[in-house]
Amino acid sequence: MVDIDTQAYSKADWAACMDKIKSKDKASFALVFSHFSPRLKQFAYRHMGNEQVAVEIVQEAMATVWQKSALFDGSKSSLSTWIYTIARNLCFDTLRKQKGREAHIHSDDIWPNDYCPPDMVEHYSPETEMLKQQIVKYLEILPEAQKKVVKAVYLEELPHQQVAEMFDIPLGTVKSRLRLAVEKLRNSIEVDKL
Amino acid sequence: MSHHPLPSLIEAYASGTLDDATAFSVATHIESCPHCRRLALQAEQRLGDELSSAVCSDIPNFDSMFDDIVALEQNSEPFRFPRLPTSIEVNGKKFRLPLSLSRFKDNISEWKSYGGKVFSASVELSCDARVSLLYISENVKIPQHTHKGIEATLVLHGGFSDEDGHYDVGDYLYKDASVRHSPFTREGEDCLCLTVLTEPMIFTQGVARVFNMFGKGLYP
Repeated sequence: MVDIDTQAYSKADWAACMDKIKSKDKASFALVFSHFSPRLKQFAYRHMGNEQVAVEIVQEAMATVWQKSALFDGSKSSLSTWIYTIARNLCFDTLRKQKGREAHIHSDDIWPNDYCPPDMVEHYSPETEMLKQQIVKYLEILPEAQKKVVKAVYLEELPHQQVAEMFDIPLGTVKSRLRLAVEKLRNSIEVDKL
Repeated sequence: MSHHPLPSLIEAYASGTLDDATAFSVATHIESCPHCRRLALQAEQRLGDELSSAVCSDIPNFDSMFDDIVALEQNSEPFRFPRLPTSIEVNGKKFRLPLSLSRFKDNISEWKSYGGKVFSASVELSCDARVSLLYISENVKIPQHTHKGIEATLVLHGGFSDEDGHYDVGDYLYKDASVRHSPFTREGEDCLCLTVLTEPMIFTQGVARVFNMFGKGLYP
């Protein structure tokens, strides 16, 4: 498919490649794809013991690399590590699904930071009280709908599902309002620190 | 913090070969332990290098897969929303829970009190293990017991001791069935732990006062 020797690619080469993929460069993705997809298949087959399932894992992992390329940070991790964690997590979740019962624990409970930009993780892990105070202070800047959801989830610590029922909105709406609200809060809090 | 998971356990965590509940306990330890987090990241890097440098004899034809994938829209939305800390109350005190438990607050049962000194709540997380929160108030000695299976204990708040030593916040213990121990708290010291037990615990000593009133094991 591609006539470039990717065996000798360094971390920096791959990072440069990913930068192009972020702007939808298909030729660069072809390099990543042709290097990693056969290796991923081998890896997934070893974990899953099934040819068909292994191919599905390759498909899903490579689709993630393409679709979520913007989340890859070459200064923090190497591409091989990133792809490895994506594939490992897929194998973990697929194995649990295969057991045919509902698993409570998902891969993102076990390896939480994989797809989350580190600045968001770090920003939101400090002490509860400090965070709550910040949220209270800035709550007024939020539109009413977001404010209600943030109050219920962060200050009253209600589960998302319960909040959805309380306001009679879909669970997805709760999550998207939270996401928008946190973005907005984060920006305001940071601007204020300047 | 002086008790960590063994390097082999961190390795198994990074390679995705641990059972759900044990992996969860390691993840919870790592959340507050930069040392083990670094070890896990190093293991992931090595495993990533192994993946990338693996020799592939069979090169499958994935051309149509490639075409399907590049036809997909890209999006930069994170897969999950950042987790925010939640807290839990027991014996009139409020504790912050690890982020790993934020999503599972609904899965935590009511506290069971054992003589008002020891409290436990089960956390419904996995079919293969018993995951519990255990609160021991000050100056309590838990009767000597042994484990059938393996018990991982992570100290979330305060501390406790047993025959082998003292354990503080963040400490991680991983005991196999052969180890008998009797944990205790000192005066002015209480302890909140997360425990992951693969099999029910069996008491080996005359059941102590606190427990025989109820005739139950320590874990629900």
